[in-house]
Amino acid sequence: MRLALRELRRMPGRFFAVGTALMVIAVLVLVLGAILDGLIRGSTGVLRAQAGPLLVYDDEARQTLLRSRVDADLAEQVADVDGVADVRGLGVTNVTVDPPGETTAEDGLLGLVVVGAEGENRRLTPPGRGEAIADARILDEGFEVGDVVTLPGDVQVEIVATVRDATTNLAPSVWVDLDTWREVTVAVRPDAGLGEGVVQALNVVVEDGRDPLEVAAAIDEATGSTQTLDQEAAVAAIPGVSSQQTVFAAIIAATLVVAALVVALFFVLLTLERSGLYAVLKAIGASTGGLLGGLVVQAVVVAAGAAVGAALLTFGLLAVLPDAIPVELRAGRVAVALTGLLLMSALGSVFSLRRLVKVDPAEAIG
Amino acid sequence: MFLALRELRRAPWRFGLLAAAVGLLVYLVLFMQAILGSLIGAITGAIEHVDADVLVYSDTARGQLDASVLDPALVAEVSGSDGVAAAAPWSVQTYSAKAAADDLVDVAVFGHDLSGPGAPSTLAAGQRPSGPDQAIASAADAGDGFDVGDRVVIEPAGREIEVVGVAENLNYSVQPTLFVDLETFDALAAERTAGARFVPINAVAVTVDDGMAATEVVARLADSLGGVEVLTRDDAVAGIPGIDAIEQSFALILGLAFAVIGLVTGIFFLILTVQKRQPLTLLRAIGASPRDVVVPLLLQVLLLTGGGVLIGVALLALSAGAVPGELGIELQPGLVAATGTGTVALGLLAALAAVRRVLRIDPAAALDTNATGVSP
Repeated sequence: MRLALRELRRMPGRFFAVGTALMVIAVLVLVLGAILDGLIRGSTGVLRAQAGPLLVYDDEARQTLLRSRVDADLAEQVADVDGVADVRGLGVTNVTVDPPGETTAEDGLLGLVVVGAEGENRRLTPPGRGEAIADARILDEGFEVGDVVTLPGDVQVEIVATVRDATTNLAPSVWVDLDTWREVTVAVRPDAGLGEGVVQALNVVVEDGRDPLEVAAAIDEATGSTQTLDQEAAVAAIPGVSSQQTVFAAIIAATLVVAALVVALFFVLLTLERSGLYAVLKAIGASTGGLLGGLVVQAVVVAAGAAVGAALLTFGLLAVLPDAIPVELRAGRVAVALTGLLLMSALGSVFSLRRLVKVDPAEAIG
Repeated sequence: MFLALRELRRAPWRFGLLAAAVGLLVYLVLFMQAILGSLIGAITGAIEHVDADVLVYSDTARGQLDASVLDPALVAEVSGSDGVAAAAPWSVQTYSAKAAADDLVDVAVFGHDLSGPGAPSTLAAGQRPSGPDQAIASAADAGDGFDVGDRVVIEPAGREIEVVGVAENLNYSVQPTLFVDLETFDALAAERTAGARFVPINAVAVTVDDGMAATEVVARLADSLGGVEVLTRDDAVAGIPGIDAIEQSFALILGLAFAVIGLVTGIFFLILTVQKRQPLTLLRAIGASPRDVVVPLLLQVLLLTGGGVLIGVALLALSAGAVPGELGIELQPGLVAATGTGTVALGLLAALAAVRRVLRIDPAAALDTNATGVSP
């Protein structure tokens, strides 16, 4: 073990090549993770921001906000269900606005998601009439807190605060009260069918100590025309979320297998080169396990160096990426990906065991 | 030459590991390209494969058909413009529908004028609708209850639409599509939204006069009409929001994957060459020319990267169909050929460092017992 670490210290150049290859592989894994998180978080923020654990859609909307319609009568029925503490309306509409300054878009217009909500949510409390809480990304598009945004239908709202991670459809969001949202939606889609009191879905807060899933079943039974999901299921039901997660997870896993193969390849070559030395070490009493331990330590140390380099490189790379690519590098993602790299590198180095076992101490004397 | 092959036979693990690593990377590259192709096709197909030359959107839609809202009266204005052969309303709405099973699926319903522009141009089976409640469906969904003769029930009112034809590459927003006549489209909208003030149209589909360039008509319409964005069909496809982000994201990932292929191949052959310097020096000393030692090296690179490509293609063939959701992947010969050629070329390029090392071998060093075999 001591010998392995000393070799790393005295001859780092020998491990530079495999370290570089591992670093690029780690960058690939981190970029894949950042794109996945960027896509998912940019699509699910509105639902994750809801304070209540349940979301009620109309049962023909297939858990899609844009198609779901819940009227005031239905909301009242839901509110009367045993275990329901509070019912809050929710609606989401895509619009375009003309921002005051330069925008990153070619056509000079800015795509926004207008979110109509009521009651206190996890990260924000929807503002009063004429006010809006905007996604922090709107600041990059020329808006500032205090500015007035003119929404479709000539509805004017003043940005009173900003919030992070509370959007959907990968566009900046503007949170307004439900009446303002309805006014804007009818202006954008006169055929949207939004009468007085109609929302797209309900966020339900359950009474303390009640099982949300039991309350969800009770709501659907009482109304006969709703589909109630817990927040996790509602997020997973957003079109594309599950497919993206499965496909990206498979690509990340396959990339980590490549890392193991690369480490295996390198250490097999290294073991081959050192077989004479290993024969001598075995002749003076070193065990195969001890020699393998040295290889594993070297692989993990090289992978750790590559991981640090990859993390720094990825931060730099993501900072210069065009805005069109939705990326978000989370500490948890970095930790999991780089731990995976270390584990796969350790696994790859074990590949040299066969060759180590074959080293004959007798070769040391000729 | 025979030395190169014999070395491969004698060290199957060493070379096998490289071929496996390259194979897995080629698989990833092919898989991601296939997903990209099918994703973009599934998002844009319905706009790309209709018989309109030009599409007119509202100017606030930002190239998004669903977000475009136009007054139906605009169609007459467009029809009367210079260079326009025909113009017709063109709209899309997403509905929940029951096709083969009782489960609801999302369906993009396109309303188009049966005798005007905006109809699918890739009809593969069946015929075009001749009246209400008939549709052309996307052929990719034929197996899911959207084949000729199938009936699709559109909720909430339960209107039955008969599929009378299917057309290739006709999906939209990764959903099945149904192209119906305008009467059916308006009826569906009225059934969903009782009391709507009117049913707006999303776009105007335009065919241009014979001999006219679509871009010229685009310029004329943009000049003469107010509050609209006029696009050629190709520009409308390219401008669909999200396409840019998807293409750039995948380009970045593919670039990194190719970089790993080059690095791994280059490093492997460089280390191998350094380890073989003594036998190579000996070969040079007994008369082997530089060509005699370089060609086997390049042959090994060719065989291993080529083998890697075959492994990658085999893995893709095995995993085709295992992709979740609406995105199918399939082996596309052109894509496989381009990726395979690129991988082998990249391997050869990456092996240049090893080739350089081989060419620097000094045959005279064979006489020196401490020889490195490499001239300073």
